[in-house]
Amino acid sequence: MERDAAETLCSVGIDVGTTTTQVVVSDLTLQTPAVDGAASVEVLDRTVHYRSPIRETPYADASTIDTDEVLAFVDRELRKAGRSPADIDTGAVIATGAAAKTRNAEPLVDRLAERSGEFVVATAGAAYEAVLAGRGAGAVTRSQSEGTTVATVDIGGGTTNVAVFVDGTARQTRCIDVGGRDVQFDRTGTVASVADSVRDHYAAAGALSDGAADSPATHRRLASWQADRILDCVEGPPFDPTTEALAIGPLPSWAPEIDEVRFTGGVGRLVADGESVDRDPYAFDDLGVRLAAALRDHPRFDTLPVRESATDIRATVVGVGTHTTTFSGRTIAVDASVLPVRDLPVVAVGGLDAAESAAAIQQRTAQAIETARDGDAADEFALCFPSIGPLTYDRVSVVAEGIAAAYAAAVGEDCPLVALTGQNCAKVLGQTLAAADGSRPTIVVDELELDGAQYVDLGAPVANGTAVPATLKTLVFDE
Amino acid sequence: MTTNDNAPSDDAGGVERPTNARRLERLTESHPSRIGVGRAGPRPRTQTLLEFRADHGEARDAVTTHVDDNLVNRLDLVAVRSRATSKEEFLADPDRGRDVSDETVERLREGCAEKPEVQIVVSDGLSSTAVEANVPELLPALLDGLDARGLDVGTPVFVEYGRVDVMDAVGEALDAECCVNLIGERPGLATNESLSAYFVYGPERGKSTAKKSVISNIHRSGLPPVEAGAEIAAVLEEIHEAERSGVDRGER
Amino acid sequence: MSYTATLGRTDYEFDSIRDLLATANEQKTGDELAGIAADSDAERVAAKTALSGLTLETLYENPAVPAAQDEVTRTIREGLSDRAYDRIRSWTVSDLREFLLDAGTTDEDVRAIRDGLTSEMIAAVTKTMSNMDLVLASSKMTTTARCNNTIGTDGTVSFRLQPNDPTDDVENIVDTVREGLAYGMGDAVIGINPVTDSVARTTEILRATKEFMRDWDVPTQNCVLAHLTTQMEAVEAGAPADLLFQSIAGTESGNREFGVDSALLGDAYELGQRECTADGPNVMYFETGQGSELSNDAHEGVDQLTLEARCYGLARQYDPFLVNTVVGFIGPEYLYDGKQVTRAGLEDVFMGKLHGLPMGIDACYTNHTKADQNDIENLAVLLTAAGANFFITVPMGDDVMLNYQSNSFHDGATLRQLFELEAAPEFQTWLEARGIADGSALTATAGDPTIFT
Repeated sequence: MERDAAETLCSVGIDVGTTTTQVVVSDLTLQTPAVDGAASVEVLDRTVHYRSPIRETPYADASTIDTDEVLAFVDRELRKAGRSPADIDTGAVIATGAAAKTRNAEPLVDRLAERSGEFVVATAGAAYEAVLAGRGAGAVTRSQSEGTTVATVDIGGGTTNVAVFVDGTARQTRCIDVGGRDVQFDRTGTVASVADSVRDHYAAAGALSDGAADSPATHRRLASWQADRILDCVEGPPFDPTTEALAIGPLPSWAPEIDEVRFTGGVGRLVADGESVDRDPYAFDDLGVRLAAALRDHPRFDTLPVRESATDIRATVVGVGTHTTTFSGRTIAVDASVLPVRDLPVVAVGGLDAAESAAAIQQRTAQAIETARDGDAADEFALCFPSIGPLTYDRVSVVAEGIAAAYAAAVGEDCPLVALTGQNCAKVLGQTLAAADGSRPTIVVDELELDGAQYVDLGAPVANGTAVPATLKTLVFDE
Repeated sequence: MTTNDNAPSDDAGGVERPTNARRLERLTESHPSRIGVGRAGPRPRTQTLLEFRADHGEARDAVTTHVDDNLVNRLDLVAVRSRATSKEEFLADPDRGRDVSDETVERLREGCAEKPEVQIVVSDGLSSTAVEANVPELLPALLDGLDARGLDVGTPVFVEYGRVDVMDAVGEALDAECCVNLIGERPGLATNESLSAYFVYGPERGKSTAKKSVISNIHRSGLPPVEAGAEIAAVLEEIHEAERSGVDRGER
Repeated sequence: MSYTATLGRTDYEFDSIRDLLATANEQKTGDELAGIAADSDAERVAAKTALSGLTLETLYENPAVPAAQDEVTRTIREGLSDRAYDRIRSWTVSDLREFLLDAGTTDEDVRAIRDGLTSEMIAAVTKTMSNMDLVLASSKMTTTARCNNTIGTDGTVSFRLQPNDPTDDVENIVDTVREGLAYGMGDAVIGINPVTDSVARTTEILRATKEFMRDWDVPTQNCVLAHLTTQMEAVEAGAPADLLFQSIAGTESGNREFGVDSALLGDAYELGQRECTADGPNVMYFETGQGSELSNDAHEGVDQLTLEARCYGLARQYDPFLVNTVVGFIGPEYLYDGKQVTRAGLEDVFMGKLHGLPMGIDACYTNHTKADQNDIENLAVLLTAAGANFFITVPMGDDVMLNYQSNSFHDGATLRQLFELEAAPEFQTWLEARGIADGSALTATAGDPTIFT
């Protein structure tokens, strides 16, 4: 029996939503196996150490988040949690719904990183957020242990994000522009604003003209239309054309049989609790309570296998705080001076199995480099090698020769080579690449789940320098 | 054959008429243990029993067979033997596998470079199969890695009937600074190809196990041998620079 | 003082009781490795002859390791019943052997003297007995213990379900529990050897197994076989453990190598009484095995059988629910082949029972031992005849974590059917209610792990 080294990382999760902002501070206990050369760093325990109260998202103007105010809030909450920015080892900021539209997360991340100097990443895309909410709501464990298909429906102020987990793996996401804040009221109960999504797609939107007097029947009809969209989104495909028009990103083309549905997020909690029954319908100055009631009263609601989630409104922020970071294999080749790297586009070098010669490998690698530069002239990208073929000495030598030649021909010599591999071969590939091109800073990181990854963040080494934390961002989930 | 209601169906194995077939499939498909195997009366079904015996047979063969001489020659290893004179003696008396005779010390000194920074030892240990399956891929990657680090590598040695600590005797004979022993692990039923790399700084006979470091589980389904070669080179560099191994290096 | 015996025309002389005990052992590679074994078969029998003539008092006066230097010796002596000892002190080893085998000697009669026997006396009589002697004498002794259920009662044989996993994956562990329960295994304990010795891991596995036991109302015990201090820390923080486990040795220095001493065992016993989730009163679980002291360089020149007996002498001070020898795990340098493993297994179960312990066995072998599954199937049949309280069982006999082979779930079911034995009473009732067993036989639905889904 091994007595392994354990270390604890402090992870912060910050969720800046359309309506609300929250912070969680978690402890990730890592375990580094002592002897077994094949064992990876493992997250032994993810404990939420502190949850902030839920506060209203501060805006500098209609669409720009007040970064100073958010940072001040984060600082206050960290203090309450007994931590300082310098204690943060890892974590993520997520800007969801309407808050995401102007890439609000990035200035936040930059400023947080400046102070903590550590690995805090911005998450991107509604689909990824849907998956994080599902993870935070325990859908992975549940679907894995029961061998079932679990859908999490995260209904927030601006968006509804559905993630479908089959046997522990995120297989689909469905995200639409429907949320509790689609209509906002002022103190007097009159309509203060109506979201574009409602104006563009709700036929009776005209009845909601700004400043109109409160009309419960009108609001109920809109909430019921929203509920239709959400249920259609959960049940499809096929989808109603209006649902398709409201979609953020692609909707899936096949319908798994769903064994369990969990509602999360601010509105989702109201649905799950059934609290909406007794509430003042305008308690939050928006449509949220009515939307929750409309869902519960919907004729098809009872056909859903609904199960209460343990984390309800905080599912996303818990997911952000505890599940964005994974770890690479333990035999890697890293030039630590290059780390951390953030948001590098990931480009797969496919078909390498079929490429026998170094020249053929060089050609495929060169193609990938070209693709990586397509949208962006910068040389900051990561190449990913799902498979390099059989892990023999001769094969690794040929592959390294091909890759090094492609870089030498196309990429400036100071530019780092960042490679991600699915197989456990980073150390030897790094060693062989260094022998071929000794001056280029090189990072080869292995044993990552590369399927569909579009962006990657890599942090400074942990676990005695043997592994790096990695966040692979997948923007589309549909297999 | 006559019809018999009690005769098992002609499927290859597993539980007949499970309560939850979908669940059974999930339960067995990626499980490391032999579960969901069904039964014939209270005994295992034929195929399950024979699979088990086949795996044990291969494990036993890994223990009792010898590393191919051609491989030892092809890898340019200087071949010697521990004090054990047979597999039986090697298994019954581990101390013999930890030492070499005075004559062998002489042979090592004649055939190998002395005072290397790194001495590579390959031993059959408890699995000749592990040596044959891994060392051909591992060794060149290890030599590349040591070369890139500018370490002075001695003449690699193969010890038949060798235990982990035989590297102390070999390293002492050649006055090596560090030693690595690539040795076949005791085979399991899942794999008989698993190899370990043991490390010692300042090898000398009787050096305690606690002062040695180890990387285990090297085989194609564990830490791949070619990757292990690169990793072992990195560990040797650390040990060389720290001038210590095992507990002395802060390991438990 | 020296001891002598003459065989034919040869006189044999033994320097000490320790020398005599070692030379009298059946052949074991471990004693040869330690350099204390008989040089010939004739010398071995000469030693047995000399030993059989010694009085039990002589053995009492000459413990294998002096009391002054070893707390195991002191613990054994302090626990001895003076009254029982007075009844047998003048017996020879041969008298003790014939008393145990006598048709008139009942379980009650053995019970009346056993608390007067030191571990050295029990080791000595074992060395004078043949394999069938050991089976017969063991079969007379009933040793029961109670935790959440009762093991060792007449007409029963129990099994530890050992669902080890190479990555401590709790889903896999629970799935193996499903498989084992479907064969009626697990009435002794659902006991997991973790890969990783940590409080977090121990707690996680204890919780998962406990939750399963509650969901399906399984009347048994759970246990995670991490180091005792790890389990204690987990239990103190609220982890649901029914039993506390530790590997123990027959010398103080051997226990030091295991990171325990009698004070720690005493603390664990107290904690177990207070904090374990079990009904009790028996909450301790010990494992032993011939050769462990030598492998830790803590054998003090004593043979491996005598040291094994002393483990049982130590164990009985803590009223354990389970004690088992892990007989073939240690490798061929201690027990070379199937024959030596079989002999040691019979010896250990006999000695454990004569110490009054609820004694079981992990009948097992590693792949570098010259043994195979047939050897331990044989041993299991012999030991069921001998009335062993329980056996270790793993799926198809293959432990994918510890990389060795033991008895299978199928073996457990077969032994019950062969000997017309049932599970521990509470567990048997549960098995029948769940439609897994009908008396000593499996039902048609047994063997299907998905009945627990």
